[in-house]
Amino acid sequence: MRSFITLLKPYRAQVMLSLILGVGTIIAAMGLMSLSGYLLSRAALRPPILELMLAITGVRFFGLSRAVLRYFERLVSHDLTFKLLMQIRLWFFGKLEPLAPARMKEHSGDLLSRIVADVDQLQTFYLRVMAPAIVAAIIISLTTVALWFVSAQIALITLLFLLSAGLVLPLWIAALARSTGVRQLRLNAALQRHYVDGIAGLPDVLIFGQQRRFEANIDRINQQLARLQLRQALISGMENSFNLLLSHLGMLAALLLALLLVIGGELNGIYLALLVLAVLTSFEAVQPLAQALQTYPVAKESMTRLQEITAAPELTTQGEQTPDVGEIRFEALSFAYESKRVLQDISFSLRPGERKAVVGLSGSGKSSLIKLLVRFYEPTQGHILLAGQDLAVYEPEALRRHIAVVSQDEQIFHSTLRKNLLIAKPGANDAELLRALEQARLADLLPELPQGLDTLLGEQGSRLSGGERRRLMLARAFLKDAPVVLLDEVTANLDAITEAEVMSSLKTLLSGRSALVLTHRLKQMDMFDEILVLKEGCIVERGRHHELSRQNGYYQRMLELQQSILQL
Amino acid sequence: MTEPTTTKADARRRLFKRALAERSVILTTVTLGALGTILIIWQMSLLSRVIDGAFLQASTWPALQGPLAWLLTVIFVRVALLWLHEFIVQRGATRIKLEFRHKLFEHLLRLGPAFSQRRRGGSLVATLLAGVDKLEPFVARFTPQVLLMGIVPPLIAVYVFYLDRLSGIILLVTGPLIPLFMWLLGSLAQRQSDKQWRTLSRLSGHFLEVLQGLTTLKLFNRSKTQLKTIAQVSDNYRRSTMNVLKVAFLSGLVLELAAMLSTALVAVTVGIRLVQGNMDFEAALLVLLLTPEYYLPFRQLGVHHHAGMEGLAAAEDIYAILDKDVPVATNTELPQVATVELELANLSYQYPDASRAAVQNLTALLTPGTVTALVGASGAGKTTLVKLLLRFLQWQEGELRVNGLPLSQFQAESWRSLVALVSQSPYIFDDTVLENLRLARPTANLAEIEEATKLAEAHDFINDLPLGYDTPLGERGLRLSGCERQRLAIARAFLKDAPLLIFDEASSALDPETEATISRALQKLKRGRTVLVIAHRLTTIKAADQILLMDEGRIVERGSHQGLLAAAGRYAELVAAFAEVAA
Repeated sequence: MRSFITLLKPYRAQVMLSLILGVGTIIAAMGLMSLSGYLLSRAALRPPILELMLAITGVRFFGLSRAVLRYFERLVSHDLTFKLLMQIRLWFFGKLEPLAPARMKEHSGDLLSRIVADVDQLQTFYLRVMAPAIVAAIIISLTTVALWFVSAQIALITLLFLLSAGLVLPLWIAALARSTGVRQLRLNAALQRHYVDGIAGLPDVLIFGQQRRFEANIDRINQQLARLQLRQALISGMENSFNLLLSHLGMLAALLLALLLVIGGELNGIYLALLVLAVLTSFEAVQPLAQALQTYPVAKESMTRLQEITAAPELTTQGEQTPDVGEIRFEALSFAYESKRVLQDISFSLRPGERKAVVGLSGSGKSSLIKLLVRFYEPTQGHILLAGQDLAVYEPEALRRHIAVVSQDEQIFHSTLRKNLLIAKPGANDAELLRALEQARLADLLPELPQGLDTLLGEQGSRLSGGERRRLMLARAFLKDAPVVLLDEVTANLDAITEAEVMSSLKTLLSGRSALVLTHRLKQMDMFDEILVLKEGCIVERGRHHELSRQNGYYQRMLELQQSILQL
Repeated sequence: MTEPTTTKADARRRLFKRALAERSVILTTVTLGALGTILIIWQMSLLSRVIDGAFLQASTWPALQGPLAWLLTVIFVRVALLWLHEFIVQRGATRIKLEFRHKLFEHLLRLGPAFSQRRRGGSLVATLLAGVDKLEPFVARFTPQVLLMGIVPPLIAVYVFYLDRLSGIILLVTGPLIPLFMWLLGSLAQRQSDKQWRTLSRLSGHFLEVLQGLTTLKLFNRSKTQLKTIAQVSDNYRRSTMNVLKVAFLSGLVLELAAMLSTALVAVTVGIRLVQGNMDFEAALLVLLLTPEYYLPFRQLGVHHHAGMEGLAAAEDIYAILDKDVPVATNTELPQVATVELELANLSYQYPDASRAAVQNLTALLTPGTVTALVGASGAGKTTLVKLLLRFLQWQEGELRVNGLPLSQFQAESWRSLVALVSQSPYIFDDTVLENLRLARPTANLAEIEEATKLAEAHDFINDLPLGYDTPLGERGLRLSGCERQRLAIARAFLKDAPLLIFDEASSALDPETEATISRALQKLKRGRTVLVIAHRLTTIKAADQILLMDEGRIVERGSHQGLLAAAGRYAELVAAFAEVAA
């Protein structure tokens, strides 16, 4: 958790303030009760009322300050929590950004949500774990020291009970709950699996008439879980009741020792009420420790997970040169990912102005070519050269300015159309944006949007149709205006009319640029200077469309198959 | 049909009612709450007597021993009662959770895929698990605390009033003010904090989106600038939240202020009367000791308030689902027959919030031993028709007849047992290959299963899996490729051996070899059955006995391939256009 504490550093003053307020809150409560006890004891001796004025003022002061301190303590610590959340996000993003997407691609959407949840979890670490623990430690020390002036024995016995209630009890209960906890986790996981299957697989469950069996299975797990929870209820019930036990036994023990002192004449009885009430109210400081001890391992686990994700070394060695327009050459390139062979011995070149297509079914390794070209990954063997030099000599950002990538999993952000376009060219003016929209055959969309360029596009661009989303990506590529264009399945999953529209704007994009087009849909293939047929990571055929379609090979079979599908 | 809406107030009322119906919880809370209060009064009396004895009466050990022993006993009895109370209340909450899970899942099954597929993936599972779990604090903490607030303070106030009238009046006046002020401030803050929670989820959403779009941002060299955006969004959120919290925390401030100032007031007034000799010390100390106990239930309610409100929000979700109407189901079972003649008679269906019918006046006859090809663009109504055939949706007009019997008068389950579906994306359950197959026929033995997988040409790939038929699949197991899944689905269809087969042909090109396998398996599966194919391949369509061409929810042309070509309509146009592309 050390890196977490580093994140607190900029807010040192606010941390101090929140701790002082936290300690003050508890001292006020202790002061109110014990001073009231003392006031009554003094009053019972019936002194002139003026002698009581100090105590009366003190009681009133504590009565007022407790509530006010608590209010400000909550404000300050919550404010700190939100500042921390920001720091955690910035820290994590700063670490992750250089690693992306290599470390990200392997994470599904669920895992990304998990990351967000972990980050959210960490934000409460100060509020729920650190602050209560420090405040409790200070109160325990102060109480012990103050009691020491009265009697070392009373101080020690109180310390013993405070530690038992704050540390021993929660740890003991956690140990008791551990075995049922593990079983409960297992049952909960089983329950979740059955629910996921039952709901996501509902059509199949119903078609096979399995609903009764599913329900019975789920009820069985729920019954087991309920039995387990009863045992757990017995244990968790101890938390509050044993807390009561320890605080009151602590008070009783302190009372006994104090009584001995009073009877022995070593202590004035006037302090009895004060002492008893101070001890009893000091237990307020250790109450939140049980929750802190429960939260600690959870937060630590979140931290570990986040650190594991960001711990990987950066992938690329970074050069400093800016690329010139020139030939791109793949030389005997092989690539393996997590010891799985993805590409094998790939050699071809793409000269300025040339158009080449890579065709193959999904899983044939096509997309890896792009990831290698923009240096998200390093080749296992062989080289990629640009203008005669290995890609590694170029500065990665400069390289990515040189190459525009359009792929179907490109993100459209929950933001305005304008902001979604500006990603490709920050600072572009309206005329440039409109031109790009026109080139992408998307200008017709504008009158339909209520706020024009400033219309929100919705989550994942949900306001747009599939074809519009694809053309928005093309518009971004027009704006970026890079000499090399890489297109990854840009026309996949579109109906015939939309596909034709996207194709026509695509042709505009390709003119005057070098282009590498990855596709499994074999449409208008005669526009390519060369077609590379990829199967299981190897180039199995290459040539122009009219040659390949007569070769009676893999390409021709793919073509025939595709042509048997009636496109509507 | 109007969608029932469940309001927060409604959910609160119903959940309270349900919690209060849990007799053991109420009974124990009331009796143990009252008993506990008496014990508190007793304990504090003993404590003040001991302190008074040692301080003012110069009592010696023997005189103090009795009350001290009682003090110890009372403490232990209080602890035991509290433990018992917590246990019984938890048990009640567990029972309620169990009941809600059962009801919810049963209701979801009745609502069918038409409902659950409209919801986002994990949200229903989250409601079933985390949502139901959130009811626990409401039942086990919040509800008892509300009851205790009606039991403990009045008892203490009455006793304090009996001890000292003035202090009693202070308690009786300030006590009811607390809930009043909390309610006033609470409802003010509630509206704002509701809005705030939505912002919070949007903030997390923003962060998630930045993570998801990191590759895109990086390709445009825009990822590093995101740091500034994250800082800005987070900071805006902090500012607006703090403004809300300043108000929200006021209710806590009022609560504490009332409790603490009253305690101080009691201490001071009692102290002054002690000086004047109008009161004795033992009673005065007892009043002071009881005052915080009087306010404790109010403060506890403040502590559990948030958890209670979370439970309420979850309850709102849960009741909203439970309130969704399910179509009235009949229990009459359809006679189990060996062949199915299916007649669509003027079948129409319109989705609740749609402007036009998804399918309209569909009329067709599907006879045993023939193949009907359903052809149409996406959105033409093919999928809706399949959902109607499977009775996942209930048609609003017309009828489906099986061998002349109107389906709407029979139980859906007994009809589905006559239907096999090979879909493009069959669901693979989180279980072994064997169990995933057995789903189709629970009584099947290994030989029967192997026979089916051989027919589906799935046997070989299953044997190549690490544990063969015992390989776990699904969420935590192995992920099958698309074509392996479909072959598994075909094997399931062989196992189910139902007289009606619905086959959803892949809409995009598969690997040439797989394509051949699937088409061979389908040939075998067709024999002797009534078959409906959602067709995409010209070869499949040509071979069909009957073609139904759908457009905008209607059947616009029907007939055989040759017949439709001769009619020179839409179908003929399509095929001609297709021939052009293929050339």
